[in-house]
Order: sequence, then structure tokens, then C-alpha cells
Amino acid sequence: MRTASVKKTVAQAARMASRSKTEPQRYSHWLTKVTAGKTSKERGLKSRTAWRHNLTTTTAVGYTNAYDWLAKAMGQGPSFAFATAGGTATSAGLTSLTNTGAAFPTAGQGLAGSIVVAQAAGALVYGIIVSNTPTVLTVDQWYQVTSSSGASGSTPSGTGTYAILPGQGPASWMAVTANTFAPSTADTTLAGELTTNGFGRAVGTYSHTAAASTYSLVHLWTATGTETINNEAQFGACAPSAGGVMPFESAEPTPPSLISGDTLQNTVTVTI
Amino acid sequence: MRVIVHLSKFYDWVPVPADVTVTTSDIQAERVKPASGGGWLMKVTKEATTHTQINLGEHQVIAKIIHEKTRPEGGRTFTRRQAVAFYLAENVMPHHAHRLWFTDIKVHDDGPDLALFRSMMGVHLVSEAGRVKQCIDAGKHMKPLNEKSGPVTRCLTCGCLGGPYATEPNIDPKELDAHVAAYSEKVDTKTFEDSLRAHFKVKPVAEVKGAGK
Repeated sequence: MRTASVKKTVAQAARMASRSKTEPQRYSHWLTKVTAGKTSKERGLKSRTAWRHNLTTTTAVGYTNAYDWLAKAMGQGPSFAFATAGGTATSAGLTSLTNTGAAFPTAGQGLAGSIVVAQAAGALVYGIIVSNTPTVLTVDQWYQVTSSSGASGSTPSGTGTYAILPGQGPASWMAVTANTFAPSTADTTLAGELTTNGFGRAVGTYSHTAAASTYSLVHLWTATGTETINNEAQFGACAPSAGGVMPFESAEPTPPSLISGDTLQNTVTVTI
Repeated sequence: MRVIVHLSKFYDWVPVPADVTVTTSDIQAERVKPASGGGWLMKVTKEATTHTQINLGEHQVIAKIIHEKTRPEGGRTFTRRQAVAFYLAENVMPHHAHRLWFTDIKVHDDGPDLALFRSMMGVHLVSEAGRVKQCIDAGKHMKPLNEKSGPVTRCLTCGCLGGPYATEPNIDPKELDAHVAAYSEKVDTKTFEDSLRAHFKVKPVAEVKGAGK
């Protein structure tokens, strides 16, 4: 005897879904390959993993949450026009710009993630705002606008003009750590992020095919010392100390061990 | 550097139908990747006149030169043109398209960055053991963070984990001049594009099988 299945109403399904974890609709994958260096006993490909699903930081609080970053990057960004989005600085430092007469918005996530362009001696520079008060913008660093590698530029003039642009800075920095832990959707930093032995945070090479549903970031690190890579992440700022959005994090299923001369290739594809 | 590779077909990812079994060999061959909700995505070929944009940072051009030099089966002293060609071939385009589908390649190049090149090469001209010795000589090796913190297992200055250390540098310092000369090679845009087209044996669009279908 066949029993007719009882279908739920949309209202019932919505109530059930409200109580369960939201499945990310935008997600990413990580692929790791290690090629042996001259001092390795191996030859060619030393280790490789299959494509693995990254963890998306969907419950992280505030600016570092992947959903918030995506919304601001694809929508209007935090810097919806306001009176002091453009103006003249009253002072500037290695990672800050001050306008004592400004009224920068601070509610919610403030201006975190926006790009501020400022005037330095002989050139323009820009920074990713990582936090702000009503009068002070804190950036990850001041970037050369001409550098394809994310190189730092000069500190802006303390009396130069600046503009805070709509949209959100990209999350194209890639980082790795030797620490062992299970990534969490609430993570905001990569614990024990490596800065030595050739494994500093670096801008990945962006690529995208027009009309394809993904974009990719890839980076090559050649080791100058011994390391085992256990976790990786993507960031929207240049350095571990700077903070910045961390939309995706990934644990190595088979952590590769590298010695000096070995090369790690990390590839991230983000499904749009 | 910005590279645009024009294509007649490209790879994309679509959900694996429910009646299809995903095997271990599919996973290992990178034909599939996990989707949300326990499903899978599979790599498919789509026909269309399109292009791949690659924003290739100069630090990655240099990274490819270092990678080539440090791998035992490589060891060549790449020019920038060669480094870009091999980077595209090995690290980028396999995710976007087969080389037979390339119909043209365009380049926007701002030239070499010698200061960055010397800086990135510099760390590979000193052996790991040499770097540790420099750290010891400076009195910084394996020092705890402060008086209250315990002994460290990783040197906070040089990042070393206590050995054993490689005694040979990744790149012989005697080869630096040859690398600088190869990297500094000046080429105009047309020469750069022609060499990439030759590397990938790019055929004009009319000759590509299936182009325009």
C-alpha cells in the first residue's frame, strides 16, 4: 500500500530553516601542490590534494564575516556617500589618516573594508580601512598604486586631500600556518600565521574567464626553511597584524611538509 | 602585468546530476569538487568566444623564476617571458582552458622590477644553516618572547624549528648575475605577445576546430 507523502507548507519549511545553520551559497575551494626542491629526496610533485571545500566565515562578528564582505563588495560598500568622504587630512601616520574636522561613520562596522586614496609626496597612495573613529581612519598599510605585488608606499601628506571610495577592498591576500586546528565559521584570524621561511602573506594571482562561474587566486611560495602547512586562509589586508576580512579558511587534509627549496602552490577558486 | 588569453572554449563547473556516481579517481583527477549540501560540481567544457584575464603580480613572475631554478628537473635560468609563459601554462590556465582553445594572447606589461627581483632572490642565495648562524651571531636565536614566557620551539626571529638545516643555498650566488641579465631582458609588447603565442602554438581563430560554433 502506498502512503501519500505529506508535503510541508512554505511557512513550515521556513520555520525549520530558520532554526538550522545557513548553507553558504557562495563558497570556495582550495587545492595544494608541493614540488620538490633540489635537496628533497623526491622528484617532481611531492604532494597534492584533491579540491576541497573551504570553510566560509559566516558567523564571524563584523567586518571579517564573508557574507558581510561579499555584500559590501558586490553592493555599494560601507562608504555610501557622506560629507567627509572627501576632505583634507590634518595628520597622517604609517597606518592612519586623521581629519580632526571629520565625522566618519562608526556605527555597525563603520568604514571597515573601504579603500581610502590619499596624497603623498609626488604620488597617490591608498589603504584598506580596517577600523575608524569619527576622526581617524586606520588602514592596513599605504599601498603604491603602481605595484602589482601589494608593495607599501609613502605615508601620505599630513595636509593632503583624501577620498574614501565606494565598494570594498578585494580579498586577494593568501596566507598559511603551521598551527593545527579545526577552522571555525567564527574565525577572524589565521592562528600562528607564518611570516618566516618564505611563507609570508602575499597577493595571489587573480584570474577569471568571462562568463565562467568561478574566479581563481594562485600563489607560489618557495621555502627557505622547514615547514609543515596545516591551514590556509584568504585575507583582505596585507599583514597578520592588520586584521582585515578573512572570508575563507581551509585545513590541509594531508599537511604537506616542506624543506628549503620545495615550492608550495596554493590555488583557491571562488564560486560566484 | 595583465594578460588576456582569448578563447574559443572554456572550463566551467556545474552540479553533478543525482544519478551519477562520483569515484575516487574523479576526485583525484580534479574532475569534480565538492559543492554545498554534500553534492558535487563537475568540470565541463563550454563553447563560447571569451577570454581569461590574469592579473599577474611581478612577485609571482619572480617566484616562477625561483621555482624553476630550485626544482631538480628544471634548473633553467628563465627570462621574464619564459617565466610568464610557464606560469600561465602550469599554474593558471589549466583551471580555465586547454591550450588548444587559445585564439590570441594580449599583454599589458610594465617591465621588470629589479629591486623586487634582488630582494626575492636574496633569501634564496643564503643557506638555511647560514641564516640560522646569522641569527645566532646576532644573539637573537631561540630567545623567548619575554622573561615570563617559556622556551620557544620556533625561533621568533628566523622562524627555524631547531634543525637539521640545509647547508646549501637554494640558488648558487654565483648564478645571480646570469639571473639578473635574463630577468632584465627588455622586450616590447609585440615581441612579448609573439613569444607567448609561439609558446602556446596559438592558432588564429579561423583555424581552431570548433571555434565560432
